[in-house]
Amino acid sequence: MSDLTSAGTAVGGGPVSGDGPLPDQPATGGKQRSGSLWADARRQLMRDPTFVIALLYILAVGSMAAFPKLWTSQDPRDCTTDRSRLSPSAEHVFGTDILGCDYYSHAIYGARPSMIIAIMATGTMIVIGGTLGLLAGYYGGWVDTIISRVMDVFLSLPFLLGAIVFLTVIKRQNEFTIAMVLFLLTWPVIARIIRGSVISSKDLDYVHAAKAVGARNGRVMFRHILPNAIAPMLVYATIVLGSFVAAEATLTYLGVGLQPPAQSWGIMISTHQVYFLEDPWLLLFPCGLLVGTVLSFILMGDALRDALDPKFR
Amino acid sequence: MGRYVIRRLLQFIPTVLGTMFLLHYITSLAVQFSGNPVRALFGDRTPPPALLQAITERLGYGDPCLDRKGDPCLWRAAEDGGGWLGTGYEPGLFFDRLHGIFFNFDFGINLRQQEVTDLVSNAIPFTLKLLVIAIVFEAVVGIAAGVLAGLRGGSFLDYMVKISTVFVISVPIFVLGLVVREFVGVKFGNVLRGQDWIPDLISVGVFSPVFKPDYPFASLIIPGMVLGSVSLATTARLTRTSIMENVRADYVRTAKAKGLTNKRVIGVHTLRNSLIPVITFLGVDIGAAMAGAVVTETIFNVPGIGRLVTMSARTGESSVVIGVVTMLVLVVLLANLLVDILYAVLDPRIRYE
Repeated sequence: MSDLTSAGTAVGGGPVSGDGPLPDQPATGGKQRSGSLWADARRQLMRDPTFVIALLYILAVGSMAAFPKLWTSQDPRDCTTDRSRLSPSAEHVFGTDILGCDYYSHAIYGARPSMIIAIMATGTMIVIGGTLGLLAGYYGGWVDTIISRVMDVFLSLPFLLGAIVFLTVIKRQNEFTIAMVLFLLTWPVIARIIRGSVISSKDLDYVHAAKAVGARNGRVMFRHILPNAIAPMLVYATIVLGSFVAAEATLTYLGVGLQPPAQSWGIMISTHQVYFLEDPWLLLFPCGLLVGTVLSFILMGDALRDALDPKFR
Repeated sequence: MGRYVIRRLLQFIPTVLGTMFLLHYITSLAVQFSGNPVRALFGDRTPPPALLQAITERLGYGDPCLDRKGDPCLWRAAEDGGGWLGTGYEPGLFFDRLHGIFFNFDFGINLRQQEVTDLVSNAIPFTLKLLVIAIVFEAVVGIAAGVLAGLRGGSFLDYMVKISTVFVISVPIFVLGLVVREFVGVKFGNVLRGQDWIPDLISVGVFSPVFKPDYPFASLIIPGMVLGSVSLATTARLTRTSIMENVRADYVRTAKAKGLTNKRVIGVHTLRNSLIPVITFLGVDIGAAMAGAVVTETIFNVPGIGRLVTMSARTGESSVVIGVVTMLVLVVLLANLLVDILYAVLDPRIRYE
């Protein structure tokens, strides 16, 4: 983290002498267009306060999910009903919930399922959706026809309705099944992005050159064509992480997601919605964390799009 | 033109069949793995086998392929041995269901033996009203905000639209719905209901936290606005970008140079062209709004299709969920087909791709 920032300031700090941190920089003199796409993007992102704040927020939530013990020493399952619905105090920063459990530690432990589901679903989506999109775009013909029709089938299910159908009939609602359902309903989107970008770059001269010197299909696909598709994929993946966090909470609220003994922000919201007028903090804390996470992912995606799109240079 | 329409229709058929098969396979897998759903009717009592058998048959879970795990129920062994084209097999459960859906308009029955089509036809007026309110709200407010922001890029209003759109995108609809219900419906509504001079239509109808059968239209206004606000942001942004692009176009400059009033240049020349992508988005958005109605109707207790789906999902009546979703998917697919064909009529470039 720190070396990224220092690299950013060193490059962006001023047009000093020729020895920038990146050896492949051509000495064009101007401040702009000095490095590769990624170096430029990194420099621009690190100067963008919205991106940095959003990134810090995500890092904080990520560390809550990975190491909840860092954030709280209390056990969210240590409940006594005689302290039901206490307002926030020094001992219980977020107060206590209806069962008398510490609400702050519940909020911290509740970050994990959302993040696990979002990361698992996005990862699977990128690997499988990306591969299918690559194959469809590269080979064209009947491979493309079949994959595109299958994509149409999955896209014709509206996201929320499809998720409700799958989760109702599966009847086993845990982190893994929710992630798989989210993946199943969204992989065609990333496959389409990759397919479009592969189709637009597979007829470029350097691809023909690579084929002419005898590169095999696999090498052409992964070394020469795929790197073009990484940037739009990265942007979409960041935004989709946010929408998966929101989707998990929505499904849980509707009663087809995680079920109460588990801890998640969606459960916190749906259990305590009836106490909103008497004890608004019971709703405001989980809602705030949830909205903050979704917002950060979306802002990061927007900033990434601006930084990675050469049109904005 | 003709060739394009035919090709589009040919693409439509496998998509519909594929979607039907996906939904069918999932139901079959659910029955195969978690057992006969009819048992749920009896709770922890053990039903007499004959009764169980009879109800299972009547609800359509009697097919033997539902006992074999992983069987897609496409074909079954023919009883007379000949079968279809002499293969020894005849079309199975999947084709029976397709036949039911397309020829008898039969989308299944719930465990109390009510037709799903009846349940849906009772619920659909509420959902339609909700959708109309949502789309109108979204179009009017979204386009107005987008035009104002687009005309004065970088102004205070532009930033307001930018910030509020990002905010609305990042608030999940159920959080927004809950907050609106409690603050506007309960808190603010209670204040209004305490005043005598405000008519009941406003205080009890419009600002009601839940749907009221006595005010079937007024009490849907706030839920509709919540539903519309999800895509409001996208509409406003789309209008804003599109206006910003078009204001710089040559024909707008010409119109200004001709000495037309500003009102006419913006209202007729610019707006008409800028609204094309917005209208497209609004059309596509109806499908998404239908899915959003699931959440909104659950929160505000509107007895529409969405609440039917959630309530059936919560009680585990998968036959209703599948039936309703099948119906909605068919509607969405048909709408997409019509939109595509309409485009080909309107825009000659699409026909010659």
